[in-house]
Amino acid sequence: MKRTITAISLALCGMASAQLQGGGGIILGGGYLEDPGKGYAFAQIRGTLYEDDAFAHHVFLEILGHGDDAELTYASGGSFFTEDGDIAFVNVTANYELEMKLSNWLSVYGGGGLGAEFVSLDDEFDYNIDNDTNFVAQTFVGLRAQYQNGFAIQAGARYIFREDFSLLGDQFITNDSWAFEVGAGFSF
Amino acid sequence: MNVLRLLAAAILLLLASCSSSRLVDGSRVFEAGEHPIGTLKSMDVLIEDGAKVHVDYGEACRVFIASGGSLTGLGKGSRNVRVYLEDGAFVSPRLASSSQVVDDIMSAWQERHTRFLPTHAQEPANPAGPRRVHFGGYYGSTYRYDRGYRYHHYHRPSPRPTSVSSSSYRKSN
Repeated sequence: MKRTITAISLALCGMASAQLQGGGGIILGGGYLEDPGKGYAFAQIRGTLYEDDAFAHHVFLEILGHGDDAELTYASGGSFFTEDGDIAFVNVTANYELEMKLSNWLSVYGGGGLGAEFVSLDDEFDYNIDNDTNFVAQTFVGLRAQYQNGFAIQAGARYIFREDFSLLGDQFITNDSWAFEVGAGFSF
Repeated sequence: MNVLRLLAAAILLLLASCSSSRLVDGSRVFEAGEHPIGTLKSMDVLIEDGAKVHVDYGEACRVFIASGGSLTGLGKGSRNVRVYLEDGAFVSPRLASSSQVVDDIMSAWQERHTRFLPTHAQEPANPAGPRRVHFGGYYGSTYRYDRGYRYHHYHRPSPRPTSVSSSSYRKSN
């Protein structure tokens, strides 16, 4: 937990001290996480540190979410019964991106980030049962097409490094995984 | 993540609102505003305040009805269906004579596996007391679905789950 807080603090301090030259932007998208084979959605709030005709340096805060089905086991009077629940994963990361412009509308980007993964377990009544927080990091690469009106679409891949998580005393194994995604947004 | 949940809930609500849909096995909870029509087989059902459920045919089911919830149907041929309800719940008159009133339907729902007979078991020949049934009215022609109300009205009772399993992640211990 201390590592997580330290990592996020350093990243946010770095972002805060950078002089934002250009404007910012918002990108929304979704993708597929290979392990465990689930879809996810993400949102980015972006700022530009420096930009010229060849390169652009961006930083952004990203929220990425995905979920999983769960089965809760209750013990009562010597017998057991089960009910449905669900597990939600929310990754909050601070990221740096280097964008190389191939033409006046097409560019390739790459970068990385680190942050925290918040895990929560709810029952079928959406009542929170347990929580866990772990360190997460990622690297990403992709292609972006940006139009003169500020609209942009992108497609790319990322590799996510995740820690194992624990709920109700049970330790679950997570695997680092590739993810493939598309997104769209606006620059301003 | 909330967007995904809202989208999934909207899809489920739309499917539940369609007529003549077969309900899946397992435990099922119908929330305020849901008006499903279908069959029930081998499952436990909770009908919350504001939900109206019509069952064409039922078999081997236990139905728990909260105050303000409604159950109708269970037509000819339905068998081994047990109905438990709170004061203020609505059941069709034909079901009333075989229903059992409980004080707290949420506690009954949570403890159903240890507190109530499975559907295949026989009822005692002489129950401890008269089978009290109340003919309640509808909650109203319009339903207001309010998560805050639900959380306030149904506080999370014990017990707390002792273990959890995930469909996608394996345990290390």
